[in-house]
Amino acid sequence: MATSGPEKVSWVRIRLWRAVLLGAFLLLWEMATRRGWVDPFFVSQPTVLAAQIFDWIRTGFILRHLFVTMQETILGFLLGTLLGVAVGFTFARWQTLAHIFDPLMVALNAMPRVVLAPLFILWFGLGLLSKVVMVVSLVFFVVFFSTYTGIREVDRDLVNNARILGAHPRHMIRHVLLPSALTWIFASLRTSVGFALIGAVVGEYLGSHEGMGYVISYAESMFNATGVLAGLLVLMAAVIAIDVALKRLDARFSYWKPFPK
Amino acid sequence: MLLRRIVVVGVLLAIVVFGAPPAIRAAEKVTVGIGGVGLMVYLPTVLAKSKGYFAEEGLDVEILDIKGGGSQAASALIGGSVDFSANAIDHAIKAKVQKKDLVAVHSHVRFPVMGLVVANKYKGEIKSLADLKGRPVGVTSPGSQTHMVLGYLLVKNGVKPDEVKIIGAGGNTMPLAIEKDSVHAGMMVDPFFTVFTKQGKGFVLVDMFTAKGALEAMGGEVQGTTLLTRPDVIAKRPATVQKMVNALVRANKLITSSSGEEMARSLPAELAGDPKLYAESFEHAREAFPPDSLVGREGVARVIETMRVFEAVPAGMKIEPESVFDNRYVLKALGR
Repeated sequence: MATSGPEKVSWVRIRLWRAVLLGAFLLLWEMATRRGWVDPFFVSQPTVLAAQIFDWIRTGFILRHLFVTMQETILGFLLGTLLGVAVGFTFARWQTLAHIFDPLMVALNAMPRVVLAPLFILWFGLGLLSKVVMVVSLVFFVVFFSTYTGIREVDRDLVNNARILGAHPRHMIRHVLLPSALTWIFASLRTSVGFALIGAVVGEYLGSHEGMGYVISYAESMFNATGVLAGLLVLMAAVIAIDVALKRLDARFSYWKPFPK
Repeated sequence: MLLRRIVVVGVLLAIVVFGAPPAIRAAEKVTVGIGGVGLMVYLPTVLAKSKGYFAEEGLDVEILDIKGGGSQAASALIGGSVDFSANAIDHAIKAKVQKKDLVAVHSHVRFPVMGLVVANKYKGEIKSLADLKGRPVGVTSPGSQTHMVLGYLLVKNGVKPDEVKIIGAGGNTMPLAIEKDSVHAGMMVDPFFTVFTKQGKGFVLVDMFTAKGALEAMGGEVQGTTLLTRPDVIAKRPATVQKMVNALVRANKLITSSSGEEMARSLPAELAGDPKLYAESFEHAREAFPPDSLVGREGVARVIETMRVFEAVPAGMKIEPESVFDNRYVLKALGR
C-alpha cells in the first residue's frame, strides 16, 4: 500500500502504451515473415491468422468446437470447485481428518496429472466424461488448498466475537467463515480456470472427435501452423472472457470489505 | 559496461533466433526418423539397418523412433532434426499444401496396409461401410493416413464423412478402444490388426493389406510408406541419398523373396516379438512390398484424392503427383 512517488497512474497512457506495443509486435511479426527473415511455415502470419479466425467464425466451424471444450471446462470447473470447497471446508473444521489425509493430498497433488490423461481416456472413454474427470483432477487441488487455508486463516477475534454474540454454528459458517474464505477461494478460482482449460484441451488432444484440442491436433498433423496458433488464440480469448466474468463476480461478493480493490 | 553486455546478449539472441541451421555433420552419419519402428510398414528401413545393408554402403545410420507417430517424424524432417524419415507419402503432400517440399525417393509399401476391424458385438448390425453411419469409428490420429483412407472409403460407399464420428484413438490403443466400446470399429495397422483378429475379438470389414483387397476397396494401388527427405539434403548429399536407396532396394528384394519365418529370424528379437505371429502378419502383408521399390504415380495420385475428402488438400489446389517423388535413385540402384 506504500505509494512512494507523487505519480498518479494515467490509464489513458497505459492503454496507449499497450496498444503501441501490441501493434509493434504484430507489425514486426508480419514484416519478418513477409521479408523472409522467418519462415511463415513455422510461425504463420498475423494477417493470415486473422483471416483464418474470421473464416472459422463466419462458417460457424469454431463455435461448435469451442462449445464442446467450454462445456467440458465449465462442467469440470464447477464440479472441481464444489468438491474442492467441500473437502477443504470439512478438513478445516475437523483437524483429525486433515491430519489423516494430509500425506495422501500432498502426494496426489504432486503427481503430474496431465500424464494421466491417456489413462483417464481408457477408464472413462473417448467422450465428455474423461475430459471432465481430467479437469476436476486439476481444479480440485488448487481450490481445496485455498479453501483449507482460507478457513484456517479467518480472524480468530472475529470468530470469538461472533461466538460471544451467540452465533449458531450454522450462522457462523454462513456469515463469518465462508465470507472470509471467499477471497481465498476466488483468488484460486481465477488460477484454476487456466488449469481447467488445459485439462479439457489435453484430453481432447489425446482422443476425441470434437473440441478445440481436436482442431489443434488436426492442424498440427497437417503441418498447419496457422491452424494451431489460431486455435490457441481462440482459447486465449475464451479464458480472458471467463476471467473477466469471475472478476465481476468477486467484486459482487466482496462488497462488504472495507478496502475494495 | 552495461551497454556492451546488452549488445552481446542482443547479438547472441539474434543468432539463436535468426541463425542458420547447424552445419551438416560428419560426412556419412545419417539420421532417419520413424514414427514407431515396430510397425510393418517401416520394415524396409528397419531391415536394412539390422542386416547391415546401410553399413555396407558406408553409412552410419541412426534410426530415431519418434513418439507420436508419422506426423511427428515428418515434422522432425521438416525442422531439420533428421535427414530422412520413413513416412507415408501423405506427409509430403501435406507439406506441399503448406508450401514445403519433401521428396519420396524409395517406396516401402504400395498398399494402405491397414484394415477396418469391427467389434464382434456389432456383427449383426454392421455388414457394410454404409452401416457405420452415426457410429464412433477410430483412426490412429486425426489427419493421419488411416483418417484419410477411412474418409475415402466412406465417400465411395455413399456415406458423408461427417455422418460418422471419427475419433483419434491411437494406433496401439485401438484394440482397447474397441474392446471398451469407445469406438464400434477402427482402422488398424499391423501388428495390432493381426493380433486382434487372431484373438477373435473383432472381424475384418475391409482388408487393405493385399493387392486384391486394395483394388476392391480403393480401386487400385495406394502409395503407402516411402523414404522421405528434403530438397536441401538431395542437393548437398546426392551420393548419400543414392547409398540409402541402394540399401533399401536390396532390403525390398530380400523381403519379397523371403518367407515369414525367415523374416522373423532376420529381425532383432525385440522387433519381431512373437516370431510365429510376426511370420503370419508378414505373410498377410507381403504383397504390399514392391519388388522394384518404385514409387507409383497412380498410387500417389490416389492418395491425393483421398486427402481431398477432408480438404487436407484444399478443393481448388492442384498437386502434380510427380512433384512429391523422384524415382531416379531407385532406377540407378536397379541398374536401369
